[in-house]
Amino acid sequence: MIYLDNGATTFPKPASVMSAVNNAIKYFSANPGRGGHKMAIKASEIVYNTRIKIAELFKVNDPSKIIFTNNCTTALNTVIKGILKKGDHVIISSLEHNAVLRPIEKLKNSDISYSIFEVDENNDEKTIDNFRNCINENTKLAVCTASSNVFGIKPPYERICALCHQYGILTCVDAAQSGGVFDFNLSASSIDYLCLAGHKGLYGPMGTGIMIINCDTVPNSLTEGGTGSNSADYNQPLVLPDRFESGTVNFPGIAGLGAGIDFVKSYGIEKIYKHEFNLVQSIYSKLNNFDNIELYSDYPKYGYYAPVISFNVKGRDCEEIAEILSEKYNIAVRAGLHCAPLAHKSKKTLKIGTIRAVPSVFTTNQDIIRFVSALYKIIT
Amino acid sequence: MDNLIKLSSLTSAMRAKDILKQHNINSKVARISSSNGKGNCSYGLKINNRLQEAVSILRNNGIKVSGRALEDMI
Repeated sequence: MIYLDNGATTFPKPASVMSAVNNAIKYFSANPGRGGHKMAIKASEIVYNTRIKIAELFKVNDPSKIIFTNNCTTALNTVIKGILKKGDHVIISSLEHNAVLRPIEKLKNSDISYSIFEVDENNDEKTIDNFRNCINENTKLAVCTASSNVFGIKPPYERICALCHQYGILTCVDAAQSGGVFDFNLSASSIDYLCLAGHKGLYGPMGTGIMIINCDTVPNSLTEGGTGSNSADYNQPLVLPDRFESGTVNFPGIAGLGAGIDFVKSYGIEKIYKHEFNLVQSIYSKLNNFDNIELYSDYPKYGYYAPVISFNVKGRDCEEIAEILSEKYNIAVRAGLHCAPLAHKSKKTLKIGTIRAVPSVFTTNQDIIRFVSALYKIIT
Repeated sequence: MDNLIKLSSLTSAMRAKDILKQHNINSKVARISSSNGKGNCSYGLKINNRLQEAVSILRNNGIKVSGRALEDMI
């Protein structure tokens, strides 16, 4: 199979990730953070070591501010619902995923309002102006994706976060699609909360997400329960990461995520981005020669886009094309709205959706040639 | 007889162990008894010696030390 659905989850996973998951289950599968016996302590060390690896990758000084969640959606929900209170206002970008839009839409019922700023992919200054125009005296939080999961557009999120700090606004960046692809340096960033998926560019198993707290304002917890600490206290512990990690964590997943991060580090983020981006540019160049293919951006410029490309075949249903690619050519892509109606609204593709192709570090030039060749046969 | 340093969380205990190791102080993460009169379960570090120095190092590194004691007192 040629797998180009890495935007949904990366496949294959590195062999080291599979080994780490297997070993965690086979040899160390005690409950980390509960007992004091040797196996429980060993499991705890593995969880802690993954925390350290994440802290190093994203340049965070304190590993206790690395919070494990079920997925990026849970991390985003925790920030959004844990920070915002009645009367607050929040600003989000026009590229946000439903993981951001839906919790914020729900908060309207709690007297929390929101504004959407339009991202102009060809003009960062215009994007910043659009953002600035949304700020009001009640703005408490801004949430911005680091890259569109549909079109790969990279908003100037660092500049937006820096601007927010001038106004005393907290900042949250959704890096579901860009962790392991963009180089984040949180020690020199105005990002207050970074939310990540462990199973995409970090090559971990599904069921792993991360919330990094990069400021002194700690959200309220969404879930309370057993943490293995301060058990006599009826109240949820305030100490991190316990405050957000009630219940048993996904130990095999976290062990695998640690191996995934080792893999990313050994390969190098810049090298990964360059490899995947070259492939996306190659797809773009080839598809741009077909009259009946609709592309949705100019030629993607290095550094301004994530390695994600969306397109359509004019006059054909995107799901139909994806199905033919799968059934006849054994090529996996994703079609539809990709859980991001706002992004489609911006590009006027809300009614038709798009076909999305996302390479990984394992994708080859030959894969891209076969993919484009299959498309050519379908459309001619 | 071991000395015990009580810490606020397991993650804090793991971090404290790493910091002490950098100062050539060996320690072991351990569960602290819930029969300490406070009914709380928590984690800490067992160390053989240099207790005062260890506590000082941890505090200088921003690690909150919840308490310290001889093991048989807890």
